[in-house]
Formats: sequence, C-alpha cells, structure tokens
Amino acid sequence: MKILFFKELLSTSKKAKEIANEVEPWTVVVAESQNAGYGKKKRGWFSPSGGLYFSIIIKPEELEELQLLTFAAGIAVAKVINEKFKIKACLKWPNDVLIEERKVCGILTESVIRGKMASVVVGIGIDTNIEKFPPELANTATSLKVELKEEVNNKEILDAVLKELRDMLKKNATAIAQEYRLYENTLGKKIKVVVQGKEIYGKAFDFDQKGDLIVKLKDKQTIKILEGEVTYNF
Amino acid sequence: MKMKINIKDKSYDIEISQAKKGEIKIKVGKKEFSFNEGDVQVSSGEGRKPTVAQAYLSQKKDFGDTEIKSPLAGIVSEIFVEIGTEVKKGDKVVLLSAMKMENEIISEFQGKVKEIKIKRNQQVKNGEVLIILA
Repeated sequence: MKILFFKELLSTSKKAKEIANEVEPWTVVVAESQNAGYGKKKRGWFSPSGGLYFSIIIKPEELEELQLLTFAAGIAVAKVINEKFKIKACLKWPNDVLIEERKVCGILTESVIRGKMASVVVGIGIDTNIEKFPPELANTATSLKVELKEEVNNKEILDAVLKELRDMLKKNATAIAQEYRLYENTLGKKIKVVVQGKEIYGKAFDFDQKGDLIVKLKDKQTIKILEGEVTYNF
Repeated sequence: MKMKINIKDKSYDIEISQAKKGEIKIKVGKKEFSFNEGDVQVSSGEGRKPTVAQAYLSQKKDFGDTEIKSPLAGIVSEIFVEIGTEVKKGDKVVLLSAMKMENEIISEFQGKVKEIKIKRNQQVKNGEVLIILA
C-alpha cells in the first residue's frame, strides 16, 4: 500500500482517477485540504484543513466483486469511530456516517471503466478536527473534535480505516451484509427517498442481498430502491 | 470504369472492369476482387487469397460503425456526448450509476457519435449498446 500525501488538492478523488492507470492497486491519495472536494451528484464537500480527505484506488478483476464495496467503506469508518473513540456512529443507507443524526463522514465510490479494465476510487471525507461549519451545514454536520472536545490524530484514523477496509474486503458478501446491519440505523424509520428527482415516502423495511433498500409505502406495497438519497423522520 | 469514393474523410480509387466473359474485377486501391459466376474468389495485391467472407468482415471492421456497450447494469446519470461529437480514445462518454457507484464509461475507440441509444435516467442492462460511433 502506497500513501501519497499532498498539502492541497482540488479533490483527492479527481487526482486518484487521473493517476489510477499508472499506480499500484491500493495506492491512497491524501490531502490536508481540498479546494473542490465533491460528493454524490458532484455536490461540494466542505474540506478545510483539519479534516481527513483521502481516496483509495482499487483495481478489481471483476467489477461485480465490489458489489458491496460502498457499504464496506461505510462500515470501516463507523467501526473505527465506534471502537477508537467510543462514540456511537451509525450508517444511513447506503453509507453516510452519522453521529446523533449529524453527518461526520461522506463516502463516494467511483469507477473508471475502459473496456474490461476498471479502476475504482473510494473517496472518503471525515470531519475530524473541524471546529466550525458554515451556516448551511451547521445543523446537519458534526466533527470528531466537536463531539470529543479534543483534537484527534488524522494519520492514526487513516491507518485504522485502511486496515478495516482491507479486512472487510476479504470477507464474503453475506458477512459484509451482516456487519452492515450492526451499524445501520435506517431500518424501521419513516423516510423520504429522492430517486431521480422523484420523492418517495415510506418506511425503511429491509435490505436485499445486493444492498438495495426495500421501502414499504403507505398502501403496504414494497418497492426496491437502488440509488437515492434518504432523509429521516417523514 | 474508374471512380473515386470518400468514406470517413478517406479517399478510395475504385476500378471496375470485365477481365473475361463472366468475370468482373473490382480494384479498390491496390486490392483486387474478382467475381466469377457461381465460384467467387478474391485476390489481393499482396498475393493473399482471403475468402469473400473474410474480405467482407475486414471491410466491415475498417469502415463499419463501432458500438460502445454498457459494461454493467445500471442507470444512466449523465451523457457527455452529443450526435456529431468527435470522440477520442480515452474520452469519458457516459456516467452510469450502479452498485452504489458512479461509473465513468470511457471510450476505447475514436469516431464521430452517430447515434445515442440511451436517455438520462434510463436503466440499462449489461452489454446494452449505449453509443454508436461512425
């Protein structure tokens, strides 16, 4: 595993995708701050110095091997926060890491596919030593420093998350799915899911073996959600 | 009869002649194709004697359209090209959401976008044709 440290980048995932072809699998790109960090749907990710921003390059033989990768990455972060800091961190489907329903980590998994060759980049942004958030995030985001009232060591967290993720990916899909259930806090909640611009209201009922979310609607019908953004308490 | 045809900005000299009764010779550049009644033989300038089927296939590879197919099942999030866009090898053509990942589909070919077979938010199967390059 090779770790490339940068003082500042536009985005660690952008950099990782640029160099993915030339580097060994499990090369990790880390930046102290990002000028154009992004999450799903290219939404910006608040990335001042103090936070931990990194992207891991994985090169699977078959892309289907990584069916549950995005869940494994979420579990790795939640597990490290729970075990290292004794703070209860949960996963909102599919992989937002929350502390008391405030987001502490965002994960975006991307792949670049050329014919049969795929490079996968797992981008992880953890709000570690961030003291203050801008007004638009003040009610929905938190950091480890805010929760613990003390600084944390970014390098130790990075090493711990990378180790957890590597261990997680050695497990089979059933084991990953079981572990995911230990950390998720979506099931049983009344939720709103935005799927391709359409709002769906219902109760988070279950996950299937691919990690799709099964939602029970008001008329008791169930639907399967492959991609979407979940909001709690609707 | 001699003529010049243009395919994909490349010019080809074509010569059609009757070698002897019942045999027509078509010359494309340096390659010659001879057609007899019933038995069809193809000869080329380099002395190779491919069958008509092989000659046809190699022609199709040279001049035909190229399909960019979906490598996995998913939902089309974004299409980065339009009809007429000149695509180079290595260009990003489609963004596909699948397995909770955003997957950039990169063209392995060069060509002009002739047809876009998909729409945004459409669900596609593994192997489905996304874009045709001419």
